[in-house]
Amino acid sequence: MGFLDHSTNNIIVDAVLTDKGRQLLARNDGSFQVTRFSFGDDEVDYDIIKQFGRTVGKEKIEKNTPVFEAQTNSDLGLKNRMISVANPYLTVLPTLAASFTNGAGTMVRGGSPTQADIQVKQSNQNNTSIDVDLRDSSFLVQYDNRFVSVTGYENNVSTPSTGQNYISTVRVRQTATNSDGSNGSIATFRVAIRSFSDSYYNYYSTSANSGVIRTFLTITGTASGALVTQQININKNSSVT
Amino acid sequence: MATFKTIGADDIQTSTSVLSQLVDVIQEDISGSSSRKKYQVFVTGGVGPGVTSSLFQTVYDQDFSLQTANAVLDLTVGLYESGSTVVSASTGVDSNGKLLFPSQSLMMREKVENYKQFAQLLLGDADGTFYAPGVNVFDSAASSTGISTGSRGDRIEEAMFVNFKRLFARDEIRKETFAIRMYQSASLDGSEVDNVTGVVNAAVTANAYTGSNLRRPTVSGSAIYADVGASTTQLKYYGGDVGFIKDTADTTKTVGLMWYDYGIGVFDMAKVFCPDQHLSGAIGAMNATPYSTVTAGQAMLGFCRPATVYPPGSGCDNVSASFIPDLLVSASIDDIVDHLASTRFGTGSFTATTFQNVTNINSTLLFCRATADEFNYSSNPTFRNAEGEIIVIEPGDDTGQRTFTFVSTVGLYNSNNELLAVAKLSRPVEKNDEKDLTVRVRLDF
Repeated sequence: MGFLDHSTNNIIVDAVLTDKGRQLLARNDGSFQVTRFSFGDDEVDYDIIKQFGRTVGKEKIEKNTPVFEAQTNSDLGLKNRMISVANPYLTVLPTLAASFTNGAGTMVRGGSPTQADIQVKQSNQNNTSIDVDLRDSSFLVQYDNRFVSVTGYENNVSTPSTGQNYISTVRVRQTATNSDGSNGSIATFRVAIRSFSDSYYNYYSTSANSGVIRTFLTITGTASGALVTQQININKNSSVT
Repeated sequence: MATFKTIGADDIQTSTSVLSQLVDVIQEDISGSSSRKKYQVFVTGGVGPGVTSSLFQTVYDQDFSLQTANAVLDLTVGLYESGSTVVSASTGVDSNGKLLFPSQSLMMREKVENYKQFAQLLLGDADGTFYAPGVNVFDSAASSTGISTGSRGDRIEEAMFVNFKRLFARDEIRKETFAIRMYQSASLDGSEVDNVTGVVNAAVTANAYTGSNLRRPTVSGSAIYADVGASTTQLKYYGGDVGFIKDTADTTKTVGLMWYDYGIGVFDMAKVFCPDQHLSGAIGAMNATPYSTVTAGQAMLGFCRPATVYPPGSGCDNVSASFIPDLLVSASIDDIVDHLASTRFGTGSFTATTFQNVTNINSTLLFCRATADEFNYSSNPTFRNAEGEIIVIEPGDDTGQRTFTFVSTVGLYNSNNELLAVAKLSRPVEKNDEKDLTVRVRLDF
């Protein structure tokens, strides 16, 4: 993916359909319909503001940040979305944390455990109340559907939508509210190992242990845009340690 | 939803526009055997080892065996069923209406069928006839010859078809941008009858060439043909827009038709080439026995050397063979196209033909508008530190610093939050609570 020409004062917009967009267009059933947009800043490193201050830092970002050409992979096209919040005086944004409430991060094919429940919890610094605009009523969970599936826990998981490279996305609805004073959202869902061939371990196992496949779930708050990843290890059999 | 904003009907507009690209085809791509692909689907039977031939050949922009090669154009020839060349060569019609020809001819029915196929596509009538000028009828008012039929008339009886591939012609060829350079004569061959009138002339045997001129590239005598005036005289027939291809040295001479929508050029070979020029050399033929210098499965066209052994008219068949009708009747389509491609377009790196194509673009314009209070925070991991503190606000600041972001990407989603399109700005644009930002994203289809 090359950079866009930023040598002129004019701002050029480079737009492409993603693989998903082309897929829906090909269906010819009206499913290709743009209904919403989001802004993103994947290339921007805001640490520059910290290093150079707001005035010089802004100029550096504007002039010295080359932007990549648009990516057609719908899983990668826009990673970091901008957030709209009515309150302009926020100095802190909520964070997400994921933990296992039932089971653990290591599962065993053909053995036990083959599934685990993951809880996502939204919280705020010093347990201060999260702005209403930033409370996540749902979370988007992305996972590699060759290895795991995400199923409904309390019937709160949508039907998966699958893009390129076997990445599926589901929406997980909030199941509880954080009682620590932040009023953050809590959602719990279940991850289970899928049935797959032993040969997958020849290609996807970790370099340290040929009997372990390591895969990741990416969980994003739909309102806060906050993101957390959760690692899951899948052992080939119960003899793998 | 705080990370998405709905796009309403007012934010979506549609428009159409046109993109033109200049296409150049260089001489050596047409003349080179490695960049010209044959499809030998025609096979004779009965007499001799047989002759195989294509019905057309495809010109590529490089060696066609390479995966990176792009097909540029197809080249073939056709003969009008009731034209003088076919009528004089035919021995009749059988009870099923099939044209009959002597065994000395080759692929005559295929050449006639080629012509019919183009006539059906472009004129809407397989029995129709191309006229230049006139398109499908003789136009005495526009004619520079005043002759309707025959090799010198306006009726295109011996046609060369140049079909530009869709990859290059795109939606259509743009009017009045087409030009092609062709050599009107083949090189001299050194035989006793190498002048264009076909009369035996011993004086010219002293030239430097010997042997066949079927494959010898021509080095002089080129003419440029172009669709001059096509944008002011716009014609539309069954096959869409059509323009006249004229000799740029004398624009009263019309030598062919350019069908812009199909990207097909129809050339009257009797006008763009010297029809009477003597041609000689070995061609594929229904021949079981070798003779002179040719093998079985070949015949010698218009060749008679040495003169002491085979003097004209004594032992040499068809010694005065000319381009029309002899080559067109006796040779297979492959032999004719090989001759045209290797001798009539030049062999250098100059342009053989050029045109501009047209691509019609239908666009959807989406106006992504962010008001002052929208998109001023970011989920970018560098936007906040580990504690969730926003990094662009200096710590301890009590002057009411407000947040800002830099937009570099626009994502377009459907109602399932599936990313359908991505747009990138060439540089990041600041967004803060004192700024409205509208990004116009154009999706072309």
